Amino acid sequence: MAEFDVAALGPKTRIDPRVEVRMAIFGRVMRWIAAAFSFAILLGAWIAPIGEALPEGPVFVRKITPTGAMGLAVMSVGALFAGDVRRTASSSVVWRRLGLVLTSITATFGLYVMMFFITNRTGQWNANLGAMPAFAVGLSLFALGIAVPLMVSRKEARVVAGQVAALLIFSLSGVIFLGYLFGDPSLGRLFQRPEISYQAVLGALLTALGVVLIRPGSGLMSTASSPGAGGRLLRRYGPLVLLAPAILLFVTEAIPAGDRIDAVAFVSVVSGLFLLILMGALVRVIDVTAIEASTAGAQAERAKVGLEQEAPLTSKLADALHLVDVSDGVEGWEVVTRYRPAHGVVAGDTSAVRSMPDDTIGVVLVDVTGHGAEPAVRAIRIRDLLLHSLALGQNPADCLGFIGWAGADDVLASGVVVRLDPATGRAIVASAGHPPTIHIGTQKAELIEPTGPLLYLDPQSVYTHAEIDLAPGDALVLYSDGVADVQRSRDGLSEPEALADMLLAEGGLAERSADLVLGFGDPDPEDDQTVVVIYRNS
Amino acid sequence: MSGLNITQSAISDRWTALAVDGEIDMATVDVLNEAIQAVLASDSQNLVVDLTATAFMDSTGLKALVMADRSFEESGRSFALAVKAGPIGRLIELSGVEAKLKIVSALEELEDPSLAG
Repeated sequence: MAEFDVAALGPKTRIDPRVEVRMAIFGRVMRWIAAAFSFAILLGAWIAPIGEALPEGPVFVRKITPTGAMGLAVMSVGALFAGDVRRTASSSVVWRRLGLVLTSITATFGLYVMMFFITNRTGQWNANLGAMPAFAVGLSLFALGIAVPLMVSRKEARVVAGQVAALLIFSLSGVIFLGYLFGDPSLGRLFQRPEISYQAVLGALLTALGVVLIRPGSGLMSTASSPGAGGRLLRRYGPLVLLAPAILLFVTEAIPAGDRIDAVAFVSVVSGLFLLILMGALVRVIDVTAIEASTAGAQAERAKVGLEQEAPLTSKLADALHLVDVSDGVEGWEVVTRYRPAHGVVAGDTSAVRSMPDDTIGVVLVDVTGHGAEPAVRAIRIRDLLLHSLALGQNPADCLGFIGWAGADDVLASGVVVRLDPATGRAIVASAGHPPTIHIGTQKAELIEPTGPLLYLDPQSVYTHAEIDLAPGDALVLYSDGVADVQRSRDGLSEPEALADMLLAEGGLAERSADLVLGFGDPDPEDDQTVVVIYRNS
Repeated sequence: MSGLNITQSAISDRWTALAVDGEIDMATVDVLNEAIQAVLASDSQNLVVDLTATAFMDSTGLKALVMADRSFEESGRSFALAVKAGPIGRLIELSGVEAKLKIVSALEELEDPSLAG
């Protein structure tokens, strides 16, 4: 027998946890690097002259101001605390709160710096602290200082806002940084004089990256953590899209140089961010569709495997539905069973013709309402219980009463039980709401009506029986309502009457009669069709 | 395959009728079941399923009605079938459900206080 691999369920989540963890680790590393770098430039700019040894940009436009370095250092440490000491039961919330306080302070300071320039104040700001940081430093401190508290919020919308702010700073810093790298100082003039320093922009870039990755599984970043191909694409090319404005700027820079460049730069940065978000949304749609498709695919695969596994079972079930076991044949009698399934599926028809211990022949036909394997299994169970009752010597009517006594909640079945004495031709017939059994004589046909209600209709149901005598040439025909239904009529007769007439006119030996009965039924039935013919030939 | 049209109406203070027009079989039985469940869920009315205009009913339909009778019995309400002589009447007769279910030949019978609920 073939072995089957059960297909795995499709991805349940829209986040690939491994990617999320990788991004979270990367973010943490970036925050540490940003903090270390900020402290290094703080040392270089203010505390100790060793900072002179730090690498300068190809075009060193301006040294970082001590206040700017201080702001960045506080900012990066705040992001480090707030970003890394969060939502773990074991870690103290004190550190996290400290981080939020630090970033709030830098946000306030950044706002102050921006206001300073917006109100057109120029010159020395404070002789003791040194020159005023650049406007872009203020903007970075403000945006990142706001972003960090937003990022650790439980509300998705706030996380998204924080990510947008951090991405904006990342993109902005990227533009300026690339400008320095490629020796175009005018990019460093972004927004307002004085130009932001090489170190400050790199510090802001690193911090922004660290802040964006505080929550890699939420908000916009969840798209980047997506397990689909779109998520992979976004992780690979997202940063390039963010830096696209810088590349665009080089092109525009090459034409005229002037103050306009600030506005162009800003528009480029914002449009880069917009593009990224648009790309993120697109990727989300693509990935969600792909994930749903793969989930549906996996389910379909499971269903297919399930069918393949159950098909042999169903096939065996179908083999068990109809039994003829009359030991060595019974002299003078022929038994034929025919079965036509409804649209190729198993359903609730089942039958058995079996030799009994007392040398009688037991005949059982059961029809359980419904289609599929479940009614088939129930029908086989009922049939076998009836056979056992017969084997124990019960009257067919009592066999049916016993089944009803057992009770069942959601089953309804009809059935016929016959005990036939082959020596005398005497048949005892009991029927539970089943279509009339037909006795075909040589001169006339007789319909044997039900002798009690449907099985399981009422546990108290009482059944009677009919006794008929089968003479040589007589046949007893049992069938299910898939063959002939009392509600339908042909030539002015009900189907059972019409069937009886036809058999009387054209019937003969068991094989011929059984073929006729099946021929009477719909060749492509909605309900399964069963025929059992017991024919006495001598 | 014929469709199934079910018309709901209040025939008295206590009885709601579902008149079933068409063929009740495996393909349409869910429509009947939904209509019965709606009555079962909506109010405390007794229900009569009017099969006098029904052309055909297979065993799944019969089962649905038997199960509905049990549900109404459990909720302390009455359930009845309106059946006239003919194919459906023959099915009801042969299946023996008369012993278990209240069967009337016309809805008017349910307005008789001696019969109602």
